[in-house]
Amino acid sequence: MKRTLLLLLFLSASLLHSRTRIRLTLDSNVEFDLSQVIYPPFVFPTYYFPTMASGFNPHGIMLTFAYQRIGPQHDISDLYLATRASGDFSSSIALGQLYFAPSGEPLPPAGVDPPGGNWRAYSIIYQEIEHIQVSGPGLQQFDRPQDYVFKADADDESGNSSIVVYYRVYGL
Amino acid sequence: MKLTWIMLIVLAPTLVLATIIRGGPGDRIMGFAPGDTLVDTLYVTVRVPARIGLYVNGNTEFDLGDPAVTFPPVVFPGYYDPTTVSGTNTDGIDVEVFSNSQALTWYLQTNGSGDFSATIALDQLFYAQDGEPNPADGTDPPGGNWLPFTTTYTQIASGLGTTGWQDESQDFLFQAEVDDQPTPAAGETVVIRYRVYAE
Repeated sequence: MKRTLLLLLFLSASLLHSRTRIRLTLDSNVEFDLSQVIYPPFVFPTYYFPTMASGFNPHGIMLTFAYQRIGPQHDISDLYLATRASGDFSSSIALGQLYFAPSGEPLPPAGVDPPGGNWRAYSIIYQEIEHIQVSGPGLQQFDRPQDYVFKADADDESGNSSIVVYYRVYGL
Repeated sequence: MKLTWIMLIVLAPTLVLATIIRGGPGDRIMGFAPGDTLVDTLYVTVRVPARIGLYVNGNTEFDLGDPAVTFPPVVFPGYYDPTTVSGTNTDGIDVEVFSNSQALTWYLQTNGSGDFSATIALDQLFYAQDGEPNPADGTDPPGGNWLPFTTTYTQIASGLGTTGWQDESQDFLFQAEVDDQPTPAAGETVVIRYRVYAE
């Protein structure tokens, strides 16, 4: 009886406890197939947009995150979005040759290194993209399409290789 | 003590149920904050094709009637640098080679189409890597690293991969001989070919 009561208390606390529902979606893998573009370029480094990407964002992915208040008030004040990647593409193609930026960032000109603008190189450590303040009732959704460019360097050797890119959302 | 129990009951669900929720493209992953962390992943693939490349620039002229040129030379054979070039190499042409394969060896070769005229042979045109000093007039052959053009391909350079576009610029030298007959005003022209392949 006592155990049942404790369980009921536990479950009711789960339901009544102020919490915030969070959600994250992205829509596509990304590919840079340099056999479909002018390669080798005349000047190194040269930057390329993906040759295969999201149907909604041809330069990368459509990423959406959201929060929704469950209960009388939010139990977090901020929501964080960050990204990182798994490691180098190969022995000659470093992870740092992959860059990300909010959608709409122009392609960097050839011969410029680093690319400048809002382009940031991937690393194996999470880098914060954005943090938003959490407030108000109802569903709050944020579309954050992300663009990618690949920097072709002079010493890139031929071959195919893949890495994993991670996006992380959490609230505090 | 009672307050501690209440706190534990309130916080326990958050602590116990906290987890990392993972997904991939097309997944709609959800959780609760504080506690849950959503991690969505995608694959990024890079395909770099095995490529070789060749850049050549450009046409070259030896105008021995140019006022800046002393012709005939005091001693035959006389050696002359180009009087007109198209690229950045003032003594010849710009040549660059590209290969991104460390598994294949690339080869750069050259040849010429044939004699300039009945009296001016193709092998009076010489080539060498950019920077080769000119021979003294009166020496034949010119020596150094100068090689005469022929109608068969001759290898200039080879290697395992390049780091970007590798400079293989070539200097040209024309050897004026005693039996060279005057050319028409438009001159006599040969075609110089460069080829790159890897195997």
